[in-house]
Parts: sequence; structure tokens; C-alpha cells
Amino acid sequence: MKTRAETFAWNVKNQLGKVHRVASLEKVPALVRRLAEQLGLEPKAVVAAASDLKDLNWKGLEVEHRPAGIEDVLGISRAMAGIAETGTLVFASGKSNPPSLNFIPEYSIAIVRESELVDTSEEVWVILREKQPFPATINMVTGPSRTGDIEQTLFLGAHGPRELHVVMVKS
Amino acid sequence: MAVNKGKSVALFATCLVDLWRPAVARAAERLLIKAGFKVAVPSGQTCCGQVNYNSGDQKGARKLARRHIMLLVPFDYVVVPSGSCADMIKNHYPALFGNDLDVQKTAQVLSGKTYELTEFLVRIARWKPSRAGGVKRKLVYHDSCSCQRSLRIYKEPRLLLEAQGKYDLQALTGEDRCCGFGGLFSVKYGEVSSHMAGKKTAAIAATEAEILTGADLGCLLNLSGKLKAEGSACEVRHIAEILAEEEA
Amino acid sequence: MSETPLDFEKGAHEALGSATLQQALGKFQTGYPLLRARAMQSLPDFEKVRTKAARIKDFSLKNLDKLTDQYREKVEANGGTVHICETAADARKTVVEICRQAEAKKITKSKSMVTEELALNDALEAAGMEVLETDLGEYIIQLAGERPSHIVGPALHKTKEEVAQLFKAHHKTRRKRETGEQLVREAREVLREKYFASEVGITGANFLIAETGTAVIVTNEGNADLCRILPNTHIVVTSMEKVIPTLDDLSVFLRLLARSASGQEMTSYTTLVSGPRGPGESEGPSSFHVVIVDGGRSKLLGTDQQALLRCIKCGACMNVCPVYMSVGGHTYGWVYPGPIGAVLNPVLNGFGTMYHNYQASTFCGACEEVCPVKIPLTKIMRDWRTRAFQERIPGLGARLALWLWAAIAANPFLYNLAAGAGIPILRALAGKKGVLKSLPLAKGWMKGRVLDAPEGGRFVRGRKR
Ligand code: SF4
Repeated sequence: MKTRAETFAWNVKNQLGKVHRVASLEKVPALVRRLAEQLGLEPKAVVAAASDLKDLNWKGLEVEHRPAGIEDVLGISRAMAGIAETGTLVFASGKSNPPSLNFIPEYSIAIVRESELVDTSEEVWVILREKQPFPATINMVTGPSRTGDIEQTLFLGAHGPRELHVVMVKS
Repeated sequence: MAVNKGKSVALFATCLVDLWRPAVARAAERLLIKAGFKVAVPSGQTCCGQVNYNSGDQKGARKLARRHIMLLVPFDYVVVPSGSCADMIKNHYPALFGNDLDVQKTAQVLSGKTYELTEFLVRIARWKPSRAGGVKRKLVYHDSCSCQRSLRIYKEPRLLLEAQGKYDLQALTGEDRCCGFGGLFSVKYGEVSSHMAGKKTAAIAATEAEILTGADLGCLLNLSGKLKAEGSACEVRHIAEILAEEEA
Repeated sequence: MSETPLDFEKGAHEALGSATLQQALGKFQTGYPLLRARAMQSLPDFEKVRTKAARIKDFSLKNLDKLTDQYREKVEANGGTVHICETAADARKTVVEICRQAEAKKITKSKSMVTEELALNDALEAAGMEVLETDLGEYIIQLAGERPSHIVGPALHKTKEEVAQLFKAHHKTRRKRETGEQLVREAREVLREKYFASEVGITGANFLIAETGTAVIVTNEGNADLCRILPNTHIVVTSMEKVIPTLDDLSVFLRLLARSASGQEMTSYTTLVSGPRGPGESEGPSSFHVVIVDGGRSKLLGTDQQALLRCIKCGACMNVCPVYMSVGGHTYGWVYPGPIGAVLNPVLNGFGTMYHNYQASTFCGACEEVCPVKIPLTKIMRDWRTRAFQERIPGLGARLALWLWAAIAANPFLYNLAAGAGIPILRALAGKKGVLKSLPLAKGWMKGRVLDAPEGGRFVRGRKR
């Protein structure tokens, strides 16, 4: 039997997402720096203003906490949950989590804690029903953006990100 | 099973077989006798009414259904060498009489004892064809949509053909795809129908089979007509004829 | 009925003659079943799940008024507005009005079959607004001035080369247009700026959830999300049968939708929108409207064919339909192609006009086998044929022929007489080879086919007692 985290990771990959597992949130900035370098991007990112991301030491990266604009290439967002069944990340709109982070930058990095993983979407609804008011926009993201509209061939990065990196944080 | 032996079977030949290929019905009759049944061919049987039913002519369909319900219901079993006509009697006759519950009840009784030929031979008669030796010729079996979807018949004809051991059964790509016959569809939308048949014959040609068989004469006439137009030498025969070959 | 049936055969003839269309369909016909089968491996109890889905839909349709009220109340509490429109014309007017109030000049739109049904783009353009389709497939056919040929893959029928031509003609820039990759990138760049410049975003919805007042929008590209987030006004245009009770019900449909539509376990983006941007949110529309269209659907409520409103527009039925896979989507002549179109188009657009939609089927039943909400598609097609027959839509000749057949077949004496005359004639016409190559009453059959002549004699009649 796979653990929930393993199932989640397997499904993210199955949906053409990339998975990174780190021991703690503190390791995220270094990982992002490395990724930016590997991808040949400037060390620059728009980052969700979630408190646990804001507090990190982003040394070596130029980060801004705001909605994404047309010029942004790398976005870092903070999922409220991950669904193991399908490898789906769930984002709820709010002050600190502008949805554009998940759609405008060509490269998307999403942070989720393993403790935030659930088995099925039904469990997500339980968490969401607690939220008052109900979030205006909830994005369930499963892999990168894709299209099959040209000769039924799969291309990534249709309108949203061409790469989705999911960072699973152990503790 | 021995318990079935001597029971009465009404053979409903279907109009297409009766008018176009009576040899199919003769073969079916031989098989049923071999399997130990008392076979009756109720005279006065004509067309099950499917053509009218599928064209929206419920009145005409009911007229023919009513006749055949009365004609066939007295027997222990009704066997039909056609999936689509068996399906008509089994699954659609009862639906035709929603406003006439007495007839509907009888139709339901009839439904419960009506079988397509290969299904009957395998499931009820538990009959096995005589084994034949010799060089095996390549054969393709075409599943009609009525057989495979409505009646859920898939294994039965294959079991019979394998038990007979005379032919080398070929796998057909897209075997679950309709051949394009569809009754009047084949005449009303001839070009589309013929195109669909062409996809099927292309798959048949790819198997290099010498013989095509199946349980529904409509599909077989469709494919035979297409194969001949394409200059294929593939022989087309109903499965009753194939199975009866070794049953003198 | 005064409506003349739209010509199906002519469209079919053209479609069958188009090598590129046939190539695209051929690829799809072999590709889709494999993808679907793979995705179904992780849903082994498909039958159970779809039965549940069908039940949820039946319950929702039975309680539609109540659930719609609940949905509306929730949306209003969230700060949005719900407009319920009985006719397509009402819906068009409503949307145009909202756009006017938003002082819209540019509108970005994500794929929605209901807006196709409304011919909404024409109405908006007539009101002086520019509408841009953002789903890549929709964008392509918008440039081409065509209609979707498939409800999930609207540009299924277009080749890469045709797309390159269209982009060249419309974008008026010099760039490489050789690979699919380049074309996708070009569309991304062109459309990107438009999102930011538009005042209104219009999307469809796959589901409306009464419990929370939530519209659910499913895409793979992410275009609907940009239409949602960036413009100041978001309008959801959808149809009345989309309402389901709860979020838990949504989970059931999400397990079925993507698997059925494209052979994915889940589409990339499933977005739940419940109102305008919330207090303190820095993004999202400040004005949010939901336009719910009846368009003739309510005629089905409480009838034997109500099940047809269970449809979640996944397209699976057409993906396995041998007729669709021969003639493509345009031949159907209206918004919805394939089996679902065959049963829905007549309801929304006339039983006379859409006559061939429900006639051109072999009743093979492949559609019902995959339909994730178990709509008895062939049964409903047959019901429509019955209705058409009662309304005398088929020509007099056809009705007479059926009457004659039933009269003859109900009378063995006549039947034997007719057979006794007919069989020898056919055999004589066929000659030695036993093959008929032309036959006045069966011209259609002879298109690319011959007919074996009867072998002679009878079974039922020729028997010794
Ligand atoms: S009828 Fe069924 S298979 Fe066809 S689009 Fe609707 S839900 Fe999908």
C-alpha cells in the first residue's frame, strides 16, 4: 500500500507535474533558487503572501508578494490542500493567495504540506465548508496547462503554466 | 442438460433469413434437433416488426408483435438465428405494450424464453458441435451490436467455433464497432452506411481471413455486399451454416 | 410540420470526401478508446459511479425549482446576481445588457456550448463589442468563421497547416508556424494581452452547486480562469439542468467527467466560483453574474425523455459513435453533434429541422455504453422517431411503405404472395452471379456496395408438414 503522500506524488507525476519533497519549509527558497537556475530563469518570483511563505528567508531571490502580472515568469503559490486520489492541488482565493499566481507565470511552483494532504475531494469540502465566507474562487489544479486542440497532439503551457512543480513539505 | 431434451423449441426464422437465405434456417433447425429438441416452425411467422418499430411506426410494430407473441408463446423456448430479431422479441416487445397490460404480460413471458441461436446452444442446450479435423482455415467472427450490447453475447459463438475446431478464429480490430447495417439506415443513409462497412471490411482484410461469419444476416449481407464490391474473395456465411457443416 | 429537414446526406457526402477530416476522425477513433480505457483503470466501479451520477441528476431535475432557488439565494448572499432566462433571446438580451453596463468594448470568452446555442457572439458583436474566444480550439474556429465540430474538441477537423494559415492571415506577423508547439505559443502570446485588456469575461459552467452557490468550470488550458480573474466583470452563461445539490455530488461527477471527455483522471483546472471577489481580495471580478438559460429544456421535465437532461456534455457518446466518426460534427447541422445532438437538437431547434439527427443512427448502442450518466440515447432517438411519425414528418411515401409492410407481414397469405413474386424477380435481375448492382428502391444500399440476391426458395413456407 502506498501512503497518502506517495499516492499524491504518483498522481501529480501521472498528470505531468513535477514533484519535489523537502524536509521543511526553510528548504524551499534554496530549492526555488536551484529550479530557477536549472530552468534558465532570472532569480525572481511572485510569491503568495501566505504568512509561512512571507516569513521565509528568500535571500538570493527577488521576491514580491502580489498578484501576477503579464511580465512574471515564475509564480509561487500556497495550496490549502492536496488530493491524493488525483494529484490535485486546491487553492482558495483570499487576501494572501491571488489566483493569478497559478495561471499567469509560465512556471508555477506550488507549496503544500504533507499534513495538508487528503484522500479525496470530499474531504476538501469538509474543510471548505468551515470557511466563512466561502472563498469566491477555488482553484483545483491537476498538472500543468495543456491543450490537445491542434491535431489531437498534447502540448503543455496553453494559457497557464507549462511546468508545474509541486513542493511537498514534510513537516 | 438432459432436462432440456425433448422440450419444444419454436424456430423463428426471421423474414430476412426466410426470404433471402433459407439455408440458414435449415441449418439452425438441424442444430436444434441435434441438440435434442423438438423443433417446430410455426407457420404464419413473418417479420418481427423491427423495421416499423425503429422507424417510429409503433402501430405497425404492435400489429406484428401481437401476432408473433400469440404464435410463439405456447412453446418452451423460442430460438432466433439473429441477434437483432431476438433482441426485438426479448427486450422491445414488452415495451410496446405499456398501454395493454395483458399483452405486455404475455410479451414478458415470451421474453423470458426467447434466445438467440448461439446463446441458446451454449447456455440452455449445453450443446457442443462435432469436432472436425484437417487444415484450419482463417475465419473472422463479426459481433452484431444487438448481440454484443443488448444481449451480451460474446463468448458463446466463439466457444462453439472453438469446440468445432475447424477454423482458425482471427482477432478483429475494432470488433466492437458497428458495421453500418442498421436496417433501413443502410438504404436511407447509404453512403454513410457503406463507409462504415468499409472500415469493417478493411479490418477483415487485414486478418487475411477466408471466411466471415456472424449471427446476424443483415450485417452479413452488408459486409458481403461491401466485400464483393471491393473484389474480395472472402466467403460470407451465417454461423448456423458453419456449425451445421459437420452435423449430418 | 412546416420545417424542412436540414440536409444530412449532402453534409455527409462532403465529410466523407474530405481526406483531412477522415484522417482526423480516424486518429480520434483509435486514440480515444485507448485513453479512456487507461483512465478507467483507476475507476474500476464505473458502473456503480455512473449509476450514482444518474441518480443525483434525476433527483436534481425533480427538485430543480427548489435547488435553483437555493443556488440563487447563495449567489446573491455572496454578492452576485442570477438571471433566469426562458428563451435564447432573453438570454442574449440579458448578457448584452450586462456588458453594456460594464461599458465593455472587449470581451474574452472561454468555451461554452450554451453560448453557441444562443449565438451569443453575434449578438455581442451586433452591439458593437469585440468578442474573443480563448480556448485554443474555439479561437481557431472563430478565426475560420466556423462552428465547433465537437463539443470538447471544437477544432478537431482542422489540420496544423490550416491553423498556420489562419494565424498568418489574422495575426499579420512574420513568425515560424511549422510545429504545433509554435502555434500553441503564438496563440498564448496573442491572447495573453487580450485578457488584460478586456472588461468582461464570459465563461460557461459545467455544474452549479446549490449548497454553496458555486459554479464549476472545467478546462485544460486555464483560459477560463484568466477570463474569470482578469476582467472586472465575470458572466457565467449556462443552462438550467446544470444544478446539483452539494459539493459531495460534484465529487461524483468529477470522477466521471474528465475520464469520459478526454481520458484524463482529472482535467488540469477545475474552478469553483461563488461570487465576486471577496472582501480584502486583490483579484477577481468586482461584478459577478450568472445567466441560466432554459431554451426549451423545461419541456422535457417530467416526460419520459427527461433523462436527456442528465447530460454533462462530456462528448464520450460522439467519441465512440460510428456515425459521428464517419460524418464529423458539422453534418449534424446544429450546435450539438453526435448522439447527444441527435436527441437534444430536435428539442431545442425543432423536430422537423433536426429530423435527420435522430434518424441517422444504426442504434448500435455504443454511446449508451460509455455515457457517464446512463442516458438511454437510442431509446430516446427511437422515441423521437415515433413522435415524428405521429406528426407525419417523414414523407408520405415512407409512411405508406411502412404501413404496407406491416399490412403484408401481418397477413401470411399476402406475404407469401409478395415473396413468391419478388424473389424470382430479384434473382432474375441478379443473373448468374447472384449479385444485384442496382435496385430502384435501394439506391442508397448500392453506394459502394452490391447486394447478394436471395438464394431462392423459402424456409417457413417450403416445409413439408
Ligand atoms: S449524452 Fe452522455 S456521453 Fe454524451 S455528452 Fe452527454 S453525458 Fe456525455
